[in-house]
Amino acid sequence: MNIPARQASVLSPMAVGRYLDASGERQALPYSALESERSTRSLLKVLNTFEFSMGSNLLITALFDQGVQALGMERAVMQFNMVAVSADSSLFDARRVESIIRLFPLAGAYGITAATLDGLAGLGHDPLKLFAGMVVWAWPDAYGRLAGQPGIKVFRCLEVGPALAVECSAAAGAHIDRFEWAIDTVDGEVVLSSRLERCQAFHHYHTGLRGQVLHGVCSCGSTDPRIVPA
Amino acid sequence: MTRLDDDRFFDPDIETMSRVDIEKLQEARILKLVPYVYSRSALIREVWDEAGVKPEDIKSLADFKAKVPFIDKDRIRRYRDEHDDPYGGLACVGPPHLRGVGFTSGTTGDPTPLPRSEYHVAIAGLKRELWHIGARANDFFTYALFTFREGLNADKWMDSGFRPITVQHLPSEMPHLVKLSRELRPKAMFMLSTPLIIALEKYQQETGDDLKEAFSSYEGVVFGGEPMSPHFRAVVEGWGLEIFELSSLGDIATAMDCRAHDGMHTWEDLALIEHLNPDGNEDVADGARGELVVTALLDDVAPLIRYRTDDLVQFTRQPCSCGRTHGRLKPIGRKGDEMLIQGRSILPIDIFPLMQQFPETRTGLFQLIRPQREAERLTLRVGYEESALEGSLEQLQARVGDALSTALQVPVQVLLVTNQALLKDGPPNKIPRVTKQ
Repeated sequence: MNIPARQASVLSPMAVGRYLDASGERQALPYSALESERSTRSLLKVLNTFEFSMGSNLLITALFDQGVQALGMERAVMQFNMVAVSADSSLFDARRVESIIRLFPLAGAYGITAATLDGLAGLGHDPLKLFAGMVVWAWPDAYGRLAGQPGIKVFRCLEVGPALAVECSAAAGAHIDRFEWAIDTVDGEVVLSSRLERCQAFHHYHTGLRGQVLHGVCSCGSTDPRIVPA
Repeated sequence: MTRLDDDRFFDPDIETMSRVDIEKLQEARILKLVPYVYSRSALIREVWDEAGVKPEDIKSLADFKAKVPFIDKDRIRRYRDEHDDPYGGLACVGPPHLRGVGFTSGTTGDPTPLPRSEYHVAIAGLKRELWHIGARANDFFTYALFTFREGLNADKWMDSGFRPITVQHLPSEMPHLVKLSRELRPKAMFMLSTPLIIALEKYQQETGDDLKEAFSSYEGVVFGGEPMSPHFRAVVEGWGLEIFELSSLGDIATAMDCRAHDGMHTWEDLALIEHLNPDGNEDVADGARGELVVTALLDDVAPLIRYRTDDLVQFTRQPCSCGRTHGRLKPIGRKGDEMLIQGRSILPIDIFPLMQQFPETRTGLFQLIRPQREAERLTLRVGYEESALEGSLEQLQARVGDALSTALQVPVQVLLVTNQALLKDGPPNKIPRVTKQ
């Protein structure tokens, strides 16, 4: 089941984003509409584990060069009939994030970074108070600062080389689409291969991310593997 | 030439439409919009009721221009604050038709929300611009948008076949931009700003990399955010790039100049454009200076209706030599940025060319300090390049102050700071040109 299919053809890209290689260098990531659609469907499964109300607002923060990887999450939010409210996940745009939190009733916030937390603190705001009561997906640099803090429901989002992994309501590791990626660890490093046609195939790709890959059933009901960073 | 072989325009029927047909199209869209927006937008209903205007009073484009009251940013913000409504009473629909919310830059307060559906009005115009530059189906273009005005939109270009390469609009990302330009050979660059040009210039000086060679696939680069300084124009043209300047069309769409470089093309199928006396409500003459007033014609989520943008422009409806027929504008500045120094009008656009005469200030980084509109003396914070400093700071301060005072014919006080100090507080695409302190 988990043996990657040999890619018969290469999909034509609709856009080019980037992924970070094992050394943290930016690499071009050509991306097709088909990959975006599959990512959306996969992330809808994650959203479905939360009790979001249709019609509610969800803050999506990202950097513009994450525009293809983050697209699936934004489209999943929209397909859930929620409204995606956008800001940069940069230090400078923390001002916009604060303004959005003040003006919009938010059910959640996706893609929170340490830069956003630093920016909010620099403006004199307490991020814990601002995000209180929301479902917050945070990148590892912010997750470590928010996890375990009172009043915050924090979940992981991870870039795993070219792939995206997002935690469900069970908060037991970030789910990665099992049909899109074959994934495991090799000597403690997360390694993946693409299983479907993509613009760019990946075979035994060493992501540089160290951690565990949990296979089996999650308490949310999904059997998509979960990644727990070391 | 038949249509079969003519690929000058992305959307020829729209871009070359006669003035009569443009107005026919506008009237059709306005007459559909009027009852829609009155019945759905709480702010518009409130403003029209105050003015005693009902949808049935509007039977033509002329009726619309004569009877419909204006709105402005202050009125929208007031509605937002009084009714705890982030959309300021403009939203006509909710989800699922309302899909996402982007924002204006927020230089004058809380960013203004720009709610949208699946259809991105601004991108409809940008496709025409990138085609004009030379992009065609399957071509790449580098896409370094300032912020999330439009949310994530890498999938919104598919009907043009253009392929965006998303790049973060940050000075630190310029080596990546150069690398991608060599790898993917894009046809257009959208978009450069003053801080990015400074970063590219520095990158070139430090690495010796040949940017003319790296950028040789581009047929044009879009510059925006503010007027372009003559120094940076020369720098970018030195890389072999033709520059197309872009400006916002009142938060509805964008306007960009063409190869004729004689004004930025607006898209009058997307926005009804009025060009009015900044201190009154009447039209000003074609080509004269006026305030841009816009009505969104294809936005069914939160359309702006007779929105006074505060933008001062020269505007003409004369057809352009490039073959397009929609009106063109030349930005002058924001009405709210204007200073009256001893009764004389001063805007940032008046300062840009004056910064070129000194090697230390030719990057054109400056701020008008505007605690109030009227003053007896113009106070400017001026950025200088430390490595170019000739003589003492006091001498530079005196040289710049004297030259500006002579050119502008008002007293000028100059406060010098380093370029780096001016740039560091961001945003990444420009420095605020007007500040209270």
